[in-house]
Amino acid sequence: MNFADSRRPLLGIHPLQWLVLAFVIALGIVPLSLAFTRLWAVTGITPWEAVTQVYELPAAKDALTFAVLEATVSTAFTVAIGLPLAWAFGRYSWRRMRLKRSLLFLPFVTPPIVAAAGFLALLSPGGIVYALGIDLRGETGIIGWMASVTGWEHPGHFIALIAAHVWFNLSLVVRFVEPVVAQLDPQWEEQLRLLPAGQTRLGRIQHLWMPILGPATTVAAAYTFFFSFTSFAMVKWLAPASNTLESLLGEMGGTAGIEGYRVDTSLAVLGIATFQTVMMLLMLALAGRFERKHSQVLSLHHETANRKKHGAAPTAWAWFANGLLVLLLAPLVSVVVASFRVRSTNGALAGSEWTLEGWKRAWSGDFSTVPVYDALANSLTYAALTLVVALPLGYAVASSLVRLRQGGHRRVAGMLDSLCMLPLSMSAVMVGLGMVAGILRWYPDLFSFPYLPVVPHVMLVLPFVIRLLTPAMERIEPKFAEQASLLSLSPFAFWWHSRGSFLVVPATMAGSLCLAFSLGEFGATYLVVRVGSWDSLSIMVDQVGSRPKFDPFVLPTAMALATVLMVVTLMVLTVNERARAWRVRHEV
Amino acid sequence: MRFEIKAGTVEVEHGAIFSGLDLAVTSGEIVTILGPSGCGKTTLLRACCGLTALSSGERWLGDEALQPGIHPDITLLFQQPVLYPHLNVAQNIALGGSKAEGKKQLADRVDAVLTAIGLDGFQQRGVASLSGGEAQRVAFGRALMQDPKVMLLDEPFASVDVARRLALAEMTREHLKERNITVIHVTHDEEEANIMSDRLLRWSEVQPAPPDGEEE
Repeated sequence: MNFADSRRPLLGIHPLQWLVLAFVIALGIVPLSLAFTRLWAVTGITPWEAVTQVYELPAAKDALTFAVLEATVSTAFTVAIGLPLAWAFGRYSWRRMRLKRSLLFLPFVTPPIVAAAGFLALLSPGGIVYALGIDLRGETGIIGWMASVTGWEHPGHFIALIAAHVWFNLSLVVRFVEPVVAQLDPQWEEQLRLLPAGQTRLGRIQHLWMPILGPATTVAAAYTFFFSFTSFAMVKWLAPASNTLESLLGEMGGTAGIEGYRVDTSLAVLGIATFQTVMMLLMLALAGRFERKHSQVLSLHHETANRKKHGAAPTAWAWFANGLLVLLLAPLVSVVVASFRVRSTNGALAGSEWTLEGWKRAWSGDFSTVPVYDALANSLTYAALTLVVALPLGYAVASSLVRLRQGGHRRVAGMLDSLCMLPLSMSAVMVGLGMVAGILRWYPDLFSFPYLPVVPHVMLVLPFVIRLLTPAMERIEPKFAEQASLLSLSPFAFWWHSRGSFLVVPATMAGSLCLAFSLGEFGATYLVVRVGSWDSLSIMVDQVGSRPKFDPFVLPTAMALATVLMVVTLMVLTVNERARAWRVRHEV
Repeated sequence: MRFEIKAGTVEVEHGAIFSGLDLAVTSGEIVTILGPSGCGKTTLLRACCGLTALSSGERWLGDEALQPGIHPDITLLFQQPVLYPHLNVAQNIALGGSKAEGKKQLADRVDAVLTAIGLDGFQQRGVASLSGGEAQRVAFGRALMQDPKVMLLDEPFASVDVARRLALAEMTREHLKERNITVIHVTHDEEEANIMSDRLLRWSEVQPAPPDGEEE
């Protein structure tokens, strides 16, 4: 019945679009499959056998224990702090809500390496936490006492890592829970107050809030666990004596898959990668299940219904929420401040003083393979190429999925959609491993391809582009295309008026996300970049920050580099925020 | 120009919306089809302009048997006016202009159409700020810009309040007659039908045999 259907073969999809779909799916599957095949060939044992053998490897066992422990504790604290914050934002009216929301979401979009640098700056001498007498880094004073009394190794590192994970994931809880609180029909609560079961606060929590907020909280908790479990840059910087499976893979992945060389490493990588893949697929499946439940709970009430009813936040809530927002900014401000501070080596008078030396050294590239402007140019090149490749690919895939759904082929669309989302179930290091042990070991010539880091960036960002564009395309009413078809327009004008013009905002959001993600990406780039002159900013921050700190200018230089990365990323994300605000204002 | 549909049938999964339908409209004639909601009027108009393919039957424009699909000389005015939110009023109307027209000529024609439909000065207005009647007038203006031979009107005044509906119907008829456009107009409002039509048909006359399908 559709006026355009008669011209489109095979389920209404053009052969070229099928080709793009196949390419995108292959891009997500092939590198990691090749990596597994390569590791299998090198070690001579199957992935499943490797899993059983790797459990006997103490490092892997420790990493698994540590990953589960830190992810569980991070999740518990994130939910405990995030839930009241989400409640306060959903229930009360706030002045400058947009600004507050932006501040809240800032940590989640900050490159992990910058976040790690920020926390390091907070904890190091000259940082606020250190100034308060809490030495989480050197583990002296109360932290040292805690370690000696309990026998717990590096409690300071663990606490710092948990704090960083809470900081990073807090917005997830607010993002999922706040809309439920805000959109809940106020009459539900009023009705419950009139019933015997709802006359006490506990009763209302038990009978209303727990069932209503439960699914959203579980989704947020599941994703927090997922991100904490696969944390890399933060573990590497804040808990250097410990490993998660992800950071262990990052350490060992670079030398895995080489014929006849360190077969034990290849075996460990094969086992850990197989285990981690299964774990991540399970976690994502679980999170997806909770998310479907959560979406059923959301009522259709207008977002401001609850806020209008309850008015401005009581003082205690206001202090809590505003205080937390200020705290969220602390690591980012610390990065900037630390780039201008150098620890004083002036005899017994330990302290710090202001300096521009960190910035000078960052500029000249004293501690790195390339100066900052070269690394920035590399980062911007990778980011631009990621955008140029990922956006059209994402558009083509989203367009095919929408066409399939509108043509009644929902199951096919669902299956293809899941396949396109596969890279989401892989951590950045796994994607990097896929590149190194898969493609590069089979086709070593690719080592000389200067834009190699773009490939994992495209893989990692494509699911987000597809996720942004697909619903936006589905929202476009077919009447616009029908009307345009009656107006004798050129093919481009037809496309623009019936589709393109409606996608400007989501495409801008997807584009800025591509840029920001690529700029801050660390895990995959860490494994893929082999030539010093290819170093991106995030790699350079790590490279400088990982140097021995006996030279007092190492830390300010690393912080100066992190500041550059942070500022560039924030500039890109401002575009995203403006596009999002425009969309909200115009309800498109 | 004469427009005709011969033995037209549109079938969906559950049966036929209409079948073996014959309808001929002479050049410049305004035919109104009066029928209840859901009887198949909209599908008939969509089939006439090619948005919905005929399962069987033929469409004729003058002496030309039309191929399936859209024809540049036939346009449709939807029940809810479709205006593009990213364009202002003038830009929406200009979409109906010809590719061959120069910028100046197009702008002059847009101004003339706006004057004709009583929306002079609305050029720069955003379409979101228009009332239902104004929006429908803009959509009508855009259709006039196309210089169509046949215009199909699908309850075009449904989104307009009662007080203005009849005045708008009179204005619309005037413009259509002035330009000698062949029109098929469907509605369920008898008063509007009486104002608009040269010839009034009830759905039961257009589709005498009860079709297999029930819903539009």
